Amino acid sequence: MFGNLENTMKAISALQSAMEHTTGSNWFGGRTTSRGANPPINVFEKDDSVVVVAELPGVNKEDIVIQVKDQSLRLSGKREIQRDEGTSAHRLERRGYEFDRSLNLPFRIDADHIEANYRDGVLALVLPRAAEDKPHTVAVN
Amino acid sequence: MANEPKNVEVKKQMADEPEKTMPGRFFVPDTDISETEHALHVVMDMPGVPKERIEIRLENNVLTVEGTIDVSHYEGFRPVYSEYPLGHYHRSFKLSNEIDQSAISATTQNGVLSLTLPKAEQARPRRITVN
Repeated sequence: MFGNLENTMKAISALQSAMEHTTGSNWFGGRTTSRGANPPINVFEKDDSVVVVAELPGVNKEDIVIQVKDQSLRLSGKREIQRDEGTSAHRLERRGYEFDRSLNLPFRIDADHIEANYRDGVLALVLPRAAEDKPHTVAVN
Repeated sequence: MANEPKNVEVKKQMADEPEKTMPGRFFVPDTDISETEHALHVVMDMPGVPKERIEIRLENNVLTVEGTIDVSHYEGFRPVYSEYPLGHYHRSFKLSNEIDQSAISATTQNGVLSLTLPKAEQARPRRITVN
């Protein structure tokens, strides 16, 4: 049991460290967006897919709009904050926000098999590479 | 209702005092605290933290909330481009009011934790479960 706990702790440190090394990397070819800077995203590769993750706390799933066209992916939506009248506020750090961001992906997507999961305020988009854009393994004779 | 363009966020990393024994960075969740005649309301953004990974304690008038992310969701993921850091959340508040600890309610939805702390007189330290 302690072995598992240690593995989890190492796993998160390793993940955070690996992500730090890819901060602002050149994966998008130096130009991620054609529009907007929000929300901040993290991009991962897993098998033949690319996963785009964004933190969108407090957004209603129905308010998230995802559009795909050719190699462009667009994420838009909004989060509203309900503030009750008659309360005295000690701290107001959370903000309502709107977001509208387009990503120019450096590969073609199999648009029919995109998965979008929104759970606990995190949106994860699984984008499978189009078949013609998958790397072909070359055998060495 | 304030809806304004959100600037690219910079997460505030928690200062380690006392230092945590657990590795993995902890961040300070954006929090709204408001007060009505009868209760304190605390709302925290903790995206990526599910209900079962939230710990809430109230002892000696100090409210402590800790939320951890499940890193196993990222198993097999290779980072290629990052704009924001990933990590757990932790924040403590010293409350000036006495709270009826048996009546604290907590709910979480879409990564947002809402706590209602009814004001009262005497209270004993107690662990709170999230509904």
